[in-house]
Amino acid sequence: MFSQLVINSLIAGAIYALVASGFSLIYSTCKFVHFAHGATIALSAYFLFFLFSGLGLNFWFSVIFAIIFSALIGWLMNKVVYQKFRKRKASNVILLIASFALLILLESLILMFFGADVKTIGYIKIAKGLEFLGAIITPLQIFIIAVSFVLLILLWFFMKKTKIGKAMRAVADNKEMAEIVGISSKKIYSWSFIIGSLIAGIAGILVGLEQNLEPMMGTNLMIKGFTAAIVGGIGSVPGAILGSFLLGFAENFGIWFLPSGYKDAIAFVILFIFLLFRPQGILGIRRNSK
Amino acid sequence: MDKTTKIIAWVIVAVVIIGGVWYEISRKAEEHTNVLKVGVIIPLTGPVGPTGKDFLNGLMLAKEKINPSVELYIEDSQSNAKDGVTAAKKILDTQDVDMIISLQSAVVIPLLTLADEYNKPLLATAISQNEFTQKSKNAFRFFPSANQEAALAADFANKRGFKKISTITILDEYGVSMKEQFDKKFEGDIVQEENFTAADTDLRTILTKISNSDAIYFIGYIPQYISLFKQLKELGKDNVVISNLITISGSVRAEIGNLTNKIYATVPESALMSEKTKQFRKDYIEKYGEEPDWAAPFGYDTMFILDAVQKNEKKPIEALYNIKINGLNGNISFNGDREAFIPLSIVEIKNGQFVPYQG
Repeated sequence: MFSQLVINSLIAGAIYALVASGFSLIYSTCKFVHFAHGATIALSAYFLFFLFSGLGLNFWFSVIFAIIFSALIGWLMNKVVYQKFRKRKASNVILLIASFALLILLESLILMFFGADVKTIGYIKIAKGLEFLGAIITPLQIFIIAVSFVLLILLWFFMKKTKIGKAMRAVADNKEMAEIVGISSKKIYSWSFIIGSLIAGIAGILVGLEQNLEPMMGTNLMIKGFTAAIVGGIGSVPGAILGSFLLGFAENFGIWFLPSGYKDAIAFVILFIFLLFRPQGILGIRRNSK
Repeated sequence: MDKTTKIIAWVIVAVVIIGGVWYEISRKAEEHTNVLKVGVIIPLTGPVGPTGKDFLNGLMLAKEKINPSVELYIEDSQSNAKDGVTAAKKILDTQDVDMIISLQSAVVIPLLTLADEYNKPLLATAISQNEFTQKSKNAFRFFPSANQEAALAADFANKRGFKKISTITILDEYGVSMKEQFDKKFEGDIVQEENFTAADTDLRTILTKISNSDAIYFIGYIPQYISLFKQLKELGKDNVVISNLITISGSVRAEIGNLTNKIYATVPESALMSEKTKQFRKDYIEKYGEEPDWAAPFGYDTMFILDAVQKNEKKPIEALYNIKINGLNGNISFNGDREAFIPLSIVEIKNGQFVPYQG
């Protein structure tokens, strides 16, 4: 029973981590809450559904296109919407409102083109999972957990070792200073959206395969992803992943002892505790402290 | 033409013009009263969106078939009370509707306050709360109550000799009403009571908690049913599942597939195969290119109810008491408590198909 609970927590945490990592990456450089990240997740899942189930294309080919599509959507959102607002010196609150508007618009488009009913990609046949230390887990769930851990390592490597990653950190730390030394913040914002949305694309595909598709799936995922990012330290990608697993464990172990209806309440109690006592999150850095 | 003749001629012209205008206005007013204006507040998005769309398809199919003098003002409740009430208020303020139709407990119950405020009858589907029709003289129910639906499920569990049952129900008015009624009528022990919210589809830990029970009584919406059957299969759990008509939804049955669990559901007459329902399914598939779900026959019958109300000379609220329809859900009429009795039976789901339970 305990091992099954651990597995369930890891699965939930991995799904939240896939959402929170891309979201947190965008926040760390752009410094505003990009809620439309949820729509990117839903769009990539639906795009896979369209290519694979609708057009009957090869599954792996569809997956690659869906990931590229989500990166393109992220780049476009930044280029067409946020960049225009930034040019007009719009505050982060305006960008936040714009991200909400984008989220609603894109979800409505999904609804218009695909309808409100639940869709199934249907690539993976549902079967009894594999037994592992007395718990049951499906190959897809193992893959989801593995991807979230690999992402953690890759993102760490990317941010620490690559030129773009270092530039992202520089912009995240001090945009003006970064620009003085020749880093184009405009380009870095674009890269953040491309990479963050690419991760959202991977998240959408894996969540779509695991949980089926419905137009509002992005919003529901974003609520948990956002909570995890705050808990882990908004702006810190490893923190967001850590926060996601903490949330997954807290929810699943919590409802083992408490009535299961409290699952969301547990997540939000944790959020409140962090906001009150450690607003910078687990790995976040406290700003304006002397 | 002398002055007097001119005056008389002008008076005649004036009388003819005034009379003509008066006649035209009164004729239009008469025409207006002949059309039944109906506000339709249903979920077209959100977790209950597929059900709302299915209901609307049934409603429009019947409208096309019988071409009634009914004007529909359709608004999306977005599967939640707040948006449902806003949408209804918009219609009630801008259109002089004669009555409202709605769907889903969480939306219908708050709408009733608005229906009372504007004194308009509210014809509701997919509302299980027992006390609903007792709350107001404007509340009409065209759906099995929790008392009827959950009681039949409990009665079935009693007859099957189940002694221990776990309940897994959604945390809203619909889930709470169904669970309460099931608890009341089930003679054995409810060994575990678990809940989930409308946005939650991860039921793994809840299913892990369930043990030592003869069956699960499950109430939720389509996304949770899909998750339930998928996750039962993945976890290798072979629990008996007892539920309601949502189990027979196409997308849910597709997920059940070759699941070996025994699954039973309480369903209305419209879900069973008869000449009438076969023809309905054929027409529906022809028009929409997909199978109807459980809500479509309720939408279809609702249009026949509206047609009967429109044809009745009395006010809609009085007309509703007098209608008699032979619909897909059997013989429909409203009793003094504003309830339409919907006959229910138990079906067994095998390999994604459902067959009447033979006992």
